[in-house]
Amino acid sequence: MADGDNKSANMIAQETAQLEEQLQGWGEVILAGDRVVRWEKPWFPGALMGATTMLFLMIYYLDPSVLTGLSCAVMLLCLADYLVPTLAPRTQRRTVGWWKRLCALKEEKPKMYFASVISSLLAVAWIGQQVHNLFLTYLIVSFLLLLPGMNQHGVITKYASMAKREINKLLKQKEKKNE
Amino acid sequence: MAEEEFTAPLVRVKAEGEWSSDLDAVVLYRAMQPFPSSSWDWIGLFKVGFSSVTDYITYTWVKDDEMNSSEEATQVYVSKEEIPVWGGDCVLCYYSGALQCVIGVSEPFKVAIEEGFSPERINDLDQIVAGEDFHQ
Repeated sequence: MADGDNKSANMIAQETAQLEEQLQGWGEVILAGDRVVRWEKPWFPGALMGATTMLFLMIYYLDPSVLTGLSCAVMLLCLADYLVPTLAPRTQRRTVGWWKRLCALKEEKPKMYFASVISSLLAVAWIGQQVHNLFLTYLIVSFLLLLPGMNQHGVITKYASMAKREINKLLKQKEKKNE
Repeated sequence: MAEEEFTAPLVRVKAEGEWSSDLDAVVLYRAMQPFPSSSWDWIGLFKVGFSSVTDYITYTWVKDDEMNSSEEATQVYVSKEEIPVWGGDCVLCYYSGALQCVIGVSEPFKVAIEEGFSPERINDLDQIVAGEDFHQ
């Protein structure tokens, strides 16, 4: 058991050391960014939204062509990929985890898999059609930026648990009807 | 589909070390019998006296947060941000995605109350949580 303790502590220490090495130059920038994204001060979310709004208003005003827009977007992605600490190892594991779960679902319950995937893609396609392109991107980007803060402050867990309870209620009612 | 009845838990689950909301935690589990493991397996933290398998405080996917695996036991990492600040008596349950049920429960253990939390604060939190349940 003591060995296990040491090994796990070592693994975490290793991952942290690796991260630190990778980010030496950008350490300060990322720390600052991390503080903003975690809403350390109450005016941070406001400032974040303000900056995003300014950026998108600028894009709207400049109205770049598709190619320009695309290359700028890819440029931003590369920058983000470089700045954001390669998505903390935990987030990376989570995404890989979900991918594995999706594949497992495909194998175990193919009908459920296809139903879920196709309906969610349809929903996304419909939303994309209803909402103006740039505004949609703005909403998505804002949401992504506010996500860590909301997570940290338990906003998401609160609404997620509310949603889960509603779904459970519906399922229980369905079960009762079947009985 | 033939149903099998098991009298002994398929998995033994244990909370490692002291749990509190300002420390990352580790869960240890070990298969007592071979069982179909899937990426949809999760380990949930429940308050003692929980009413259903969906009544968890928090959960973690077993495969996602797997750290070290040995013959002795496999370690699963739980982030400190998911551990409740109000502490209390809790249990861990291993839910199998393939078998669609809980196949192992840990011994009850105490999660330490976060420093700086007064009993009044905990009472308030309790009332808020109770209020949410009442509206169901």
